Amino acid sequence: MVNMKTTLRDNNLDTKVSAKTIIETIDLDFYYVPEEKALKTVNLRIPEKKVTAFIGPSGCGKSTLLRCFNRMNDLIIGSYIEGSVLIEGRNIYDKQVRLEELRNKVGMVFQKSNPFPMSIWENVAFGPKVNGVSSKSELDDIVESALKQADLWREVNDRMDQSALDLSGGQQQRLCIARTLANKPSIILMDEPASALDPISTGKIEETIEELKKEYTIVIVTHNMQQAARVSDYTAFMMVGEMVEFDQTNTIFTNPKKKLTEEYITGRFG
Amino acid sequence: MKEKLIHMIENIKKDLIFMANEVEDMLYQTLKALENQDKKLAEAVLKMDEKVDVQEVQIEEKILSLLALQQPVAVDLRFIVGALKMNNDLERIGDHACNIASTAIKLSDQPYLKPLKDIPQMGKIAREMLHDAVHAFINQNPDMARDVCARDNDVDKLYYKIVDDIIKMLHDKMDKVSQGVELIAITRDLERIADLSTNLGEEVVFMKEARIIRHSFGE
Repeated sequence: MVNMKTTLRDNNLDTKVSAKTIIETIDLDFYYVPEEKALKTVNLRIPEKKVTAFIGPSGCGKSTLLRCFNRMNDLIIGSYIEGSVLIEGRNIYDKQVRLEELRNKVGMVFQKSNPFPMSIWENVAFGPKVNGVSSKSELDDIVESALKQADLWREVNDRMDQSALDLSGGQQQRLCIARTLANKPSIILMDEPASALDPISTGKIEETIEELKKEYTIVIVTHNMQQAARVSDYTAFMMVGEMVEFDQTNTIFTNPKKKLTEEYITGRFG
Repeated sequence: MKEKLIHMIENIKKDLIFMANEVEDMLYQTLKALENQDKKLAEAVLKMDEKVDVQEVQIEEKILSLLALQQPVAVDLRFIVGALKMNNDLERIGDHACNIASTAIKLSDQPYLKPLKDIPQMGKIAREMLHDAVHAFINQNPDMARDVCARDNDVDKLYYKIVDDIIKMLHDKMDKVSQGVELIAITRDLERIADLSTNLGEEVVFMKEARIIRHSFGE
């Protein structure tokens, strides 16, 4: 007999995530300008090899939080954080952390695909080459493996020398995923990866995400709530820089605990 | 978008309340027809069911269209799933009322085994359960809904008592076997009406609290 009490249990922050935590934020505040918090005391544990979606109205801080995980915000002059971000238990804001190493480990795919103006092969091989892989056959293997994982290999394997800019929008986005995978990350951050794509390309990206989570941890920011519901295992709802609710996606979309979450996902505000 | 969703939900709720009132009326009339051996009234109940069947299909179509076009979540999703089940349950209650009406027509020209007492009493409880389940739905009141579910036991007890009494009575009146079987069928219909009213109550609890309380889960 199914124990419904378990599946319909009351949630609290400590009991939600049973998988191993890979990213943890502790009392994380983020400031674009002094004394104005864009993130307010965010405490969150993101499970390994799962898809976690961040949802919330524009300006709620979801992309800001995502960019804290590979220190992309460091590029914004005047910005700073308080609190800590641990990846596999290590504070990534520690002075000894090398940024290149961090960003290899924590790859990122952006809203707008941004292939380099070079061939398909060169795009995917770029990262490994920068990281010192020089053997052509080894690079070939990495490129093939990354393109296969991004579900693009079958579509491009006979035209690897062609410019990446000739690919369709959806293919370019999957190329960017392959380019990230070539660096052998353990975490992939995706900031609205399908918002500029048609439904078929969006479907392919979502299928790719489903495959990738077997090996990678994925954190995705999306405005499309149906997409969050379809692709993610866990969902975090944010509002004006605060983490309002974090739970299994199924719970968030069937029985959210916070009134604010319910009002947002049912379209009653925002 | 949200206004449209809310409007569609309100519309479905209004239709369900309308249908529930029709079904309540069917049950009231059918019990009256049975007690008074009023053939005409029982025939009128059969006519009412045609209307309820049409309403059920229309409500289902509205629900399917809402699911396809609005993709409701959370409280809205629970409402619509509950509404789909309630729609089905109400239609089935209407069918059971019709079964009783058909039997009332058959028995309208013969004296009853004994004056009907327990069956009207069982009918009264089942009717009150249905009435209160509908009100729990209208007011989205899970406490009232739970109270409905709790009363199902009383109906079950009466059901077994009536069946037992009829069987005992038939030992002495073998010529009345067919009436006895008909009366047992009526009590069975009433028992099912009470069960379905319990379902309605359970759906209201699900809509409001996301708890599945049937089969004693979640309580």
